[in-house]
Amino acid sequence: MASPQERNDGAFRAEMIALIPFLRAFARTLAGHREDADDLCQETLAKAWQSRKAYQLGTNLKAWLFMILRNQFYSDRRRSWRQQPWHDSDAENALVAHDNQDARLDLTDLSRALRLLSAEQREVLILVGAGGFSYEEAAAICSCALGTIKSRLARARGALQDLLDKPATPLGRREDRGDAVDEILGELDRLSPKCLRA
Amino acid sequence: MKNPSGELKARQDVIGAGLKRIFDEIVEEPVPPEFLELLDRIDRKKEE
Repeated sequence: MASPQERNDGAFRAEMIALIPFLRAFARTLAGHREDADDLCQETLAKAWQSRKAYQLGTNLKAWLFMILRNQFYSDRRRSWRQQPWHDSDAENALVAHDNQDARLDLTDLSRALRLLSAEQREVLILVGAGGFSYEEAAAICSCALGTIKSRLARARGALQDLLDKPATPLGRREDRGDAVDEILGELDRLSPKCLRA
Repeated sequence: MKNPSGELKARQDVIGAGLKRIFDEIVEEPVPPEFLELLDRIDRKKEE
């Protein structure tokens, strides 16, 4: 007969599995690339499982997992000291391909514009705009004040709209200066001893 | 006469719906088998 702990573990596992698609979507919008996002997601699941005793069954597991994923993303990013350069072809690999010509808004343009925002702006747009989280939940996930979430969301919406309204800006391409910085940082990363990268 | 705040709201609604579609389309993708394999591996490790 299963012990109470085994029953709790089973319930936790089942709930976590049901949330994997949402974690993958959040990870993809943060990390951009499918493979990086899925790695991030798997790290999140492993961490969540290891820390499951810290989670209270019946509370908001989705918000708890999103918070772990977000922390892992920023931790990985700080460690790597660089972001992946963005190439035109990444739009198809990164988010999803959209070929619905009838859509009022070209979702490929939207995906690309989203990638040009800062990670902080992307996450708040996705958490509140697409993930169905309240401002309060988003503030808890991002470990910041409610007012910060609201102002960040307003700025993110404005920035996204500006990007979409500027047809002269080649969406999907970073400015040359940004590419050059990424190349230099990437080169430094490749040349640095492994112990410095850990 | 045009209503700039109404137009802005309408535009934001379209963008919001677009973001939701991007998110939902990823949610609807089948979960790769590696994810469940990972959880099985963790379970096996626990039993060892």
